[in-house]
Amino acid sequence: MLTRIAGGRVIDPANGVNDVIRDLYVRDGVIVDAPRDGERIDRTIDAAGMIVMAGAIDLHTHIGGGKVNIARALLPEFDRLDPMPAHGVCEPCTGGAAPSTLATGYRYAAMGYTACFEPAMLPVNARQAHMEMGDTPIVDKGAYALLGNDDFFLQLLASGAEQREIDDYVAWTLHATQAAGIKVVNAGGISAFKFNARSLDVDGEHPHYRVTPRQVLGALTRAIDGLGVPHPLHVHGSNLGVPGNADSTLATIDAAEGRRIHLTHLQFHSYGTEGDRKFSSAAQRIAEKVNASPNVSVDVGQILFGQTVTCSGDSMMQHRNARHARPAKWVVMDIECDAGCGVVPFRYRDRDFVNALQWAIGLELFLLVRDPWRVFLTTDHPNGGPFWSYPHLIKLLMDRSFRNEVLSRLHPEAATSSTLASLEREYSLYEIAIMTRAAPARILGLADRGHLGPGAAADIVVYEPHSDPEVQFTAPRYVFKDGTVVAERGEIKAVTAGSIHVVKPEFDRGIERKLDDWFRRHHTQSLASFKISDEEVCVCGRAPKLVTHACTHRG
Amino acid sequence: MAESLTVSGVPVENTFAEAFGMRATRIVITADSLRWARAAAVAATGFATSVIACGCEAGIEQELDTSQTPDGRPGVSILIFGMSAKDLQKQVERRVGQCILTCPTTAAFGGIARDAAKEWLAMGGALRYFGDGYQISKLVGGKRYWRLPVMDGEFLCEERTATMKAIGGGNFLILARDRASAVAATERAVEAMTPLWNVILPFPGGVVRSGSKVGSRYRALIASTNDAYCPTLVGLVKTALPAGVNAVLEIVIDGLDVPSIALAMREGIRAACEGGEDAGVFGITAGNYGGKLGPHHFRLHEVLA
Amino acid sequence: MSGLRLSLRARPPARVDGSALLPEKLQGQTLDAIRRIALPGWNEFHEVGELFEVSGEATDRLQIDQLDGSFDRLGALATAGTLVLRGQAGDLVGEGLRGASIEIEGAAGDYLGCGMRRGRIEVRGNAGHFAGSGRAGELQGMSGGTLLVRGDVGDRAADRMRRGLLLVEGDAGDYLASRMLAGTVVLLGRAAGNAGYLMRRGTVVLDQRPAQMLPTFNANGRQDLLAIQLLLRSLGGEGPRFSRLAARAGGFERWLGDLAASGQGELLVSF
Repeated sequence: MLTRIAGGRVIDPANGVNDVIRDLYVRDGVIVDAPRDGERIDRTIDAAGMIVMAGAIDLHTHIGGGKVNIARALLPEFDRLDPMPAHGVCEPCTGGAAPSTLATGYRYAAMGYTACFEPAMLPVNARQAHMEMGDTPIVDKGAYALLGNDDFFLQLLASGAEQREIDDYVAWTLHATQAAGIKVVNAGGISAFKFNARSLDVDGEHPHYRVTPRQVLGALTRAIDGLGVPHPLHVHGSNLGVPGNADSTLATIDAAEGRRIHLTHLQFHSYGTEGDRKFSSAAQRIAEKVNASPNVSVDVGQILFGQTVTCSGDSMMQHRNARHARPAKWVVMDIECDAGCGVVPFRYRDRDFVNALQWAIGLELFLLVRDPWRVFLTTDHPNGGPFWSYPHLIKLLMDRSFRNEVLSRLHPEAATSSTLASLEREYSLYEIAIMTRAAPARILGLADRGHLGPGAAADIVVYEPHSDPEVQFTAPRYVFKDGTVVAERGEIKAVTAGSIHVVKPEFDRGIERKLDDWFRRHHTQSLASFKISDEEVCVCGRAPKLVTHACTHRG
Repeated sequence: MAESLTVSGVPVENTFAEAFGMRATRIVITADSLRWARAAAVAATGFATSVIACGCEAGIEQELDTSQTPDGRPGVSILIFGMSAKDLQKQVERRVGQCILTCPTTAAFGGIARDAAKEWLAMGGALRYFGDGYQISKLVGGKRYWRLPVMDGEFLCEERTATMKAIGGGNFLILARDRASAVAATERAVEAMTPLWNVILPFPGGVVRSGSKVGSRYRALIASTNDAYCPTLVGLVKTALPAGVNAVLEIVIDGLDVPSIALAMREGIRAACEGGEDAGVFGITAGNYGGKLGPHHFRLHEVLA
Repeated sequence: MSGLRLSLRARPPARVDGSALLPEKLQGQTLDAIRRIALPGWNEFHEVGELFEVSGEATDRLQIDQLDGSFDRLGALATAGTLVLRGQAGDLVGEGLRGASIEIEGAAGDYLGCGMRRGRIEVRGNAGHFAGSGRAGELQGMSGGTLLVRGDVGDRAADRMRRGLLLVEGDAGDYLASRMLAGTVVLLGRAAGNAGYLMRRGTVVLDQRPAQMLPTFNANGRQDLLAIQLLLRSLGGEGPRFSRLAARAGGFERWLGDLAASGQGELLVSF
């Protein structure tokens, strides 16, 4: 079947197309070249006057894995406030602070998002994470496996193992857990927490292994480059949320020594200690460093006001944050010694100085980091706010007067303690398309997503232009997923299943001998059952397709 | 208006008692026996004759039988008067804390009806910390109580007590032939006023001998002895004493409202005058400051009408 | 009888959320308007007129007859008026009640009066589990008002209760007043196992020795406390069985706990 999306204003930064009126053709879920004359067009969608973009990609959103389920179990009261009764093709489910898998898929798709990446999949928990993601309809999924706090890795590093062996372990983990990248959370810190450390700076020594976060970051960035994994090491830095942590963020960038590194939810890592309250914005310093370091990409982790729940593998920092839990209940736990888990519900308040300044710092980062190919739109869902507030966030980026109007309603010192009010930049639609489509696809190595050229998956969003970007981005006119219209005007029309995206770099399988022994001695399961096969991940992930993306050695 | 009025033949001067707006609260003290309720009440209303030096004016209002108390035990109601709710808060905390909490078997309840409540004072709410974390709060019939563990069991104390608008400084003076007749007359008056609700007589035994005037020759003092009524100064100052009067005593009345004070003054004056001049009572008058200081004027002739 | 009257015609095909049927919301509406109100069921809506025979006049009093247990959340969040429910009243009756009076001439399902803050609920028959508790995830159960059950209550009554009064004439299931934070429970019948489990504070008066006393409660001896006398005397209007309890002299056997939760709650047991 051949579908034509006719006459839309196409914005496709990956192919350098900015607001050009042209037709798109879709066959069997893939975008194809214009047919030869006389070929039958089965269906034409009139997109005249509308804006056409590729499906949006969220490269950092907590949608699966143990912590999200713990958050769901911890906060059922918010589910009851956000019921989603059965409607059309949708099954009944709930949104809330930690939305159900169904609500996650429906709401992402209705908003024009077609791929979501879970950033914190514990290897030991990978099977559960894939099942949860599999239960999330419509959108494509992928996950980053967590390394850097597991004892096998730290032991390798502490014993002075060769980089080759670390590379093999990293590659083996990507294969075994069916991951699309590697993330490190508070490098070494989660492990140090279990040895009673309550903080660990970039050059601090792990109390037991005697290695530093800098060494962990060095080894992992080397491995990622050596293996040619397209997505840079995804780094949740040290000292999350601690005033003055900008220093450790800068040190983290240096620790990469020019190798590729992605700093996630940078907003939580851009704090200074100036002012009476010893809490200030360091966004300018951080943004300058990012602008000057082409090896660095970032996502912001913008906070938005309201109730949410923070879910993190960083048990060290979540233990510290637990006293701010609202409602007053929280979970910080170990997950089979693999890493950690901290779930702390939180309510960001606009009249609170700290929260208001966090909001301003996030926006400062968006506006001060110049290259939209290296800064991504996230709220670190659900940590900074739910993903369904993205249209609001886009409006804040595109409309300066709206931004300053919101700023004027916040705690007054948020404006005086940041440069936000003076920042004049307004994002263009083209830049929004870069940061939400083309750039995430590129940095994840997704060759066939995030653009509208022939051969790309037909993940296409058609927007009715509106003077208010929030309205425009909330309920697109059409959302195509792999060629199927899955949503119209915010309403789900078809419930499909998304693919799973993985990378499988080559490595020396000899590492399994060492791992097998390690599993026998220390694990609750055997190496064989720990590994998830391609067949299994498609079954438990309910994925029609496993999409393996190429790795190109860059070492 | 009649120029002259007599009660049992005793002339009552056509003047008025000048009284002031105050805030008051009523606290009901109960105990296993009246003896201990009374003991607490006496202590809690002690050293409370004049608001200026004592911080408040307080007294026992009534003794209550078991049908009149919230917990069905014998009790005593006391009234405490202060210049403001803030002043009263301090006094209530101290007096309940030092005199009722400490007294065996007692409990303390707020005694002002909800609809008359002006402000609320913390009572149990302020004392609860004495419980050191072992205090228990209990809501019964819409009222919150605190239960503080003490050595004879629990001290039960209502969380708060209300204040209401009140009046301080109703008074009358008894002009008598001699000290013995004056004392006897006041004793009759006090006895007649004791059964009355809503009023207290804050001075010792209900009676004050040191009537005062505003001002003093000593700069530090704002009030000093009322020389015009001092028999030992007759011949030295411009006296207010008619011939033959050699002793004067005053009764001061604080009350929750005008009618209650007026009633108390009438009952008191009538009892004081019982027996007439034969009993040595030669006249009744009242204290005022020319009418400019206090908003409430109790004209003796009207009170007795 | 004045007021609005709804009489169930037939059992609805699935459970229905009846929380829209509040006297305060219906008051002053025409019967036709009331008939057209759509109540959410399991994935579909049902009009009041389909489900009920509607009669009378919409005042501050609403009576619903012939209830068969398939309506949930009746009287939820009500702030004023009187709601009379006859028959089997379903789950979550009076959830989060804020001031109205609910009379159930029959029995109630689970979660009766859960999270209620003010007002009064009286049930002539039995109530299910979690009466006066809170729903999953809530940090507190009922936090005010009076919940009176003439019959029995199921398990976990007064779970996480924060304030208010739960009165039960009949028996209670397991875990009465579990995790109780404060408030008062008076049980005239017998409590099954684990009464007061993990309670932090609060008062539970048991007119009969419970089937089992948790080992994490310490005996405090016989105590005749003024506060408890005052409390029981205030229940005189709740019926002769409560007045009898108030009239008995000599205090109670007092147990303190649950020490497993560093609790200082009190179980007062008649002897």
